[in-house]
Amino acid sequence: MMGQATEKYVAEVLALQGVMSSEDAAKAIAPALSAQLATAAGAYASLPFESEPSGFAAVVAREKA
Amino acid sequence: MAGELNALGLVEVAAKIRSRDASCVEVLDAVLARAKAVQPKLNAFLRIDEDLAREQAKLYDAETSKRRRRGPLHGVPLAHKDMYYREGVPSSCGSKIKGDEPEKTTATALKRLDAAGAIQFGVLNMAEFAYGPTGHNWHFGHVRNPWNPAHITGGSSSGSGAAVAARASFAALGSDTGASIRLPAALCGVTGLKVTYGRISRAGAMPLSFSMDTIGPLARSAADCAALLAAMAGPDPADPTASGEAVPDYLGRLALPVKGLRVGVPLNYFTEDVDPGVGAALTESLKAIESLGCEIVPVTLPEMAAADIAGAHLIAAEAAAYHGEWLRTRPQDYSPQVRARLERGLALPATKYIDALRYRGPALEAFTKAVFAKVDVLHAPCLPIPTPTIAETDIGGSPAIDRTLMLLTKFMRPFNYLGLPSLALPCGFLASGLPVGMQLVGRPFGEDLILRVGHAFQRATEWHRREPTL
Repeated sequence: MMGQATEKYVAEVLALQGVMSSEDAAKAIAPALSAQLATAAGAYASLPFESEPSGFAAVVAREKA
Repeated sequence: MAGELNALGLVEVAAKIRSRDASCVEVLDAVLARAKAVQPKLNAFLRIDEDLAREQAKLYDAETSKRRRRGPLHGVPLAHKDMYYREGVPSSCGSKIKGDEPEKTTATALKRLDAAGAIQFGVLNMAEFAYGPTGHNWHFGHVRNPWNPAHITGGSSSGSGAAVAARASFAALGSDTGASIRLPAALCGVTGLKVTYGRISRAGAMPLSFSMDTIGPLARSAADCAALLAAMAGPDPADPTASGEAVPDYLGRLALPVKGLRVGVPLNYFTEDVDPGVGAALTESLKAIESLGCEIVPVTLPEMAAADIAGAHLIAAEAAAYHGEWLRTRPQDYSPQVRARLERGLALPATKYIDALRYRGPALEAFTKAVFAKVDVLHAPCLPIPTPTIAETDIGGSPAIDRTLMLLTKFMRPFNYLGLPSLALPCGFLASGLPVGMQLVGRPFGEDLILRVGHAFQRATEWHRREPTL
C-alpha cells in the first residue's frame, strides 16, 4: 500500500511540475525515494539540525575558530 | 622519442620543455599519436582539436626560442572533461540537449590553465550532465577501462580517467560532486584531487549541484595534481563561492617531511562491505605510510551514512531544479537512466532538502572533532568493491544495480557533503589486473598536506607508474 501511495505521489508531483512521467517511471522512482527517505530519517537522528543552514564558508570559519 | 615523452608525468614534461630538451610540437605530437591510437579502444575523447593545438604549439615554440615562457605549464598539452566552457566553442556536457550552441564565456579554470601556458587539444567523454557514477554514456558511447575494456571507468569524469591512465593526456580536468573525480581515478589507476568546496572557481563550468560541485584534476601523480591546483586555486569575482583563503605553495610544500604526521584509520563505516582483495591492498598501503615515519591512529567516525544520504538529497534536488525546464520541454532527449535520476529529485520533499542543508554544519563539526582533533590526515578506501563490468552496471542489466551504484559512491560522497579535500591514488592491483584506490582526506583547505602525504607515498611505491597494455 505504501509503495502504491509513493508511486501516486511521484506521478502527481511530477505532473504538477509540468513533467510528463510515465507510470513506469513513477514505479521505478518510488522504491528508491522511499528507501532514501527512510534511511535519512534513521541516520539524521544522531545529530542536531541547525535552525537555519549556515553555509559552508560560515561552517568552516566556525570550525577554525 | 614520442613514446618516451608520452610516458612522462606533467611536471616532468613541463621541465623538458623548459630546458628545451623537447619542443612543444614534439610533446603535442606524442600525445596526439597516443590519443588517436587508443581512441577506438577506449572512446575517451569526444573531440580532438589537432590543427588548433598544433598552431598553438608552434607559436609557443617560437616564444621559447625568444626565451619567452607563458607560465609553469608552457606548452603542456591537456584535454578536459567536456563541461568546461570556452567562448565560441560548444560544450556537449555529455548530452544531446546542449547541442552545437557556442558558449558565451570561458571557464575560469581554463583561463588560468591557459595563462599558465597549457595547450588544450581536445575534450573528453563524460557521463551525461555529469550525473552518473559508472562511465556509461548512451549518446556518445560508453568509455572503456584501459586496464580491461569490459569494465567501467567510473564516472562522471570517465574520459578523464581513461585518457590519463592510457597516457593520452598528461592530465585532465574533471568535476567531483559525489565522487566523480576520485571514482574514475581509483578505477583507472590514476591520481585525482577533489578540492575543498570553494578552493577552485566553478565559473564557466557546467553546474550539477551548487552546494556540492568542485573542480579538480586527474593526473598521474600527486605532484602533477599539485602543479595544476597551483595554477587554478584562488578567489574569482565570477564565482562568489570561490574562497579568498590563502593559496599555499603546493609544489614547494610537497618535499616537506611527513615523519611524525598522524594518519587516521577508520574503525567504522569504511570497514563495511570491503572486498578482501581491496582490503589487503589498503593494509599494504598503510604499512608503506607507516614506513615513512607516520603514526597510524585508529579513529571512530561519527555518523557517515547520514552525510552520504544528505549529500544525495542536495544533489538530487539541485540537479532537478537546474534541469527543470529541459525536463518539461525535452524529456525525450535525456537517456532514460539520467532522466529517471533527475525525476527522482523533482519528487523529493522540500523539507528533506532543507534538512540536508541544516544538518551540514553539525555534521562537519562532529567530523572534525572526532577526526582532526586526533589525526592530520584520514586514510580510507575509495570504494569497497572491485571494479564492476559495463554489463553489470547497465541499468536493467543486474537485479543488484541499485546496491552496486550505492557501493561505488558511499565512501566518497560524504566528503562532498562535508566539503573536505580528498586525494585518490592507486595503492595496488587485484589478481584480475584492475587497480585499487585509496583516499587521503584532509581538513578544510588542507590540500597541501594530503598532497604531501600522497607524494611521499608515491615516492616510496610504484603503483602510479604502472601503465595499462593497450
